[in-house]
Amino acid sequence: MSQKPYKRKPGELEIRIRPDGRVYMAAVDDAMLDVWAALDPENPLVIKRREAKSGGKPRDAQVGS
Amino acid sequence: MKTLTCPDIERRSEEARRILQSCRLCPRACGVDRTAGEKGFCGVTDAIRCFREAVYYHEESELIPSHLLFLTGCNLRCEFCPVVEWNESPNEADEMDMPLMRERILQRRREGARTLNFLGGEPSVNLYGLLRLLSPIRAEVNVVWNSNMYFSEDAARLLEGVVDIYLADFKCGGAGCAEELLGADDYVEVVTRNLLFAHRTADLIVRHVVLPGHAKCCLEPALRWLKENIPQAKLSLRCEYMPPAEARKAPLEFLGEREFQAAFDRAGALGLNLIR
Repeated sequence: MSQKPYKRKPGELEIRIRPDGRVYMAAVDDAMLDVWAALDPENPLVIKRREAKSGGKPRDAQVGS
Repeated sequence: MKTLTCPDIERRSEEARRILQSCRLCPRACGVDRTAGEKGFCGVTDAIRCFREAVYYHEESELIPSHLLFLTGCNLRCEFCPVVEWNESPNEADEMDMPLMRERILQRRREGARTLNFLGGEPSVNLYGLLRLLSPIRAEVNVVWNSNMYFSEDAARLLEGVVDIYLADFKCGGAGCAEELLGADDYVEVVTRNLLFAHRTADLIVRHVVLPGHAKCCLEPALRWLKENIPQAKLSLRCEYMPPAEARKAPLEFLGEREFQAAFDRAGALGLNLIR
């Protein structure tokens, strides 16, 4: 495994694993989001995503000025 | 959310097209005729190309789930860009099929996406195409302009009333770093002007990706400017800096937890409106 970051080409995706085990993903797509969900299934955001995919309703963003 | 009215989006798209004929959508003002297939600094014509789309959960909490549309073409050359390969080859992506993309946007909204989030690259270089894309569906989506904020006053005028929320980068604090890391020594001048515009015309979240080793030259001036000019603006400090594969000046290490905490503490000490 290379220690140097890989130079991506258009269409490629990247997962980088640091020596301390932290995982970085750049500009992910749906398939990589599935990987993230599998790696961290109890993450609140993963749970939120799972719920939305199973039929959540659209809500308006609430951004106050 | 601020109430927006934009009854003239079609007229605006025509005006954007006229601007493209001698392009001045961004401060580089290349003057090329993008409607005739010419390309300036951003490398794209009047065609709009989306290289990735997905619903994300890692944006600011008030935006998620957020449907992100990644567009090719950028007017900066950030060494640490997480999609640099698309800035180098912006025409590798297929031209967008607008009716299909509108269907996709509405489908994503039905699936729960609260916001439609345009990013790139830089969405403002695709303003003409995005206005056309939005024209029939504008009323049905909350538009997030996820931008480097390096756009011209002409572009700003066309954006007013179209954008609900600016998710606005404030990347560097001075001309030296802006030139070395982004390739634009007038970046701070342009971005601060556009942050004031965004604050005046829509909702605003200012984003600063904390760069390793750039606390004094980038973080501090950015925080101070916010404090002095728009202290109530929402500020999102981000820790996701990813060292690039190739760099002349960009940091080659990840951000440390201590450095990120120090940035967070500094923003808090200045009384800024931090969000996550």
